[in-house]
Amino acid sequence: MMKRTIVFMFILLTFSTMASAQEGLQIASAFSRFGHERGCKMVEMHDARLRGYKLKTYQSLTYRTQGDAIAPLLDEDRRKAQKIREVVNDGHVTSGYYIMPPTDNGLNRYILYTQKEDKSGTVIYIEGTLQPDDILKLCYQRKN
Amino acid sequence: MKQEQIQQLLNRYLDGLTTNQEERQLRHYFRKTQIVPPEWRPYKVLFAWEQREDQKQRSSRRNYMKHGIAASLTALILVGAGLTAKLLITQHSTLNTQQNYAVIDGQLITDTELIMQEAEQALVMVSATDDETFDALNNIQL
Repeated sequence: MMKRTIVFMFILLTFSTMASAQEGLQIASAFSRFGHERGCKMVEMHDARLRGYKLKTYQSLTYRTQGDAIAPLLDEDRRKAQKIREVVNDGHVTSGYYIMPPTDNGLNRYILYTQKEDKSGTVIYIEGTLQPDDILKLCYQRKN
Repeated sequence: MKQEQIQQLLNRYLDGLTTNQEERQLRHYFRKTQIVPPEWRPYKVLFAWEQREDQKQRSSRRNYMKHGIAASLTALILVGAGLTAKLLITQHSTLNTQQNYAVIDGQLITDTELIMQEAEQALVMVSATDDETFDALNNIQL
């Protein structure tokens, strides 16, 4: 009984930790659904430093063929975004990033993505104290 | 069993010479026989009392065994729960220390360098590729 309770508490703790990362965002299901599929690459980092910026949570998903399934999820999150920046090429959104409402504890949340016509693409979720300007520098800094 | 045989057994019993088997025979006889000769009545009472005491002792032994088993099981459960809790706490700590990971084609990668490499690659993917788009994005004021 006690063992069962401990296992239950552990599962609850694990799921609550997992759930808090992208709370209320649809792309969370993209990571959970496609992250372990063949042809996909998923990265998850916490309290990591990337290109000199400290990130509370970083999660990326690179996929080859799942574009059709991921597009509606991005579209759902787009509706909740506080600010939207998109790059449109020949009438198609090829990349963009959304500033999402912050977490309850005040951390900023960003979704960045790129998608190609062949249904491949990349989605990144970033959570941290970074400001929008930092995201620009982080993602679009020119590499010499 | 004939009365002569019982008498012989009783004599041996009083002399302390009876075997366990013979004593069982005596007990059995006095338990099953309702009416005994008046001179054997004290024996009937004696064997009845002896049997009750024996049953009490067996019952007590069974209770000790029951309590012993229950105590052992409780101890085992507590030790098991303790070990499980320790294992789960260790696993959870491990998860915390290994919370940075990559999954490539369904394969879990925990190598820090490779994880960083993949994270960098994803960033490059979302970054604009051609200069024109790059400059456009770079000029965006959020």
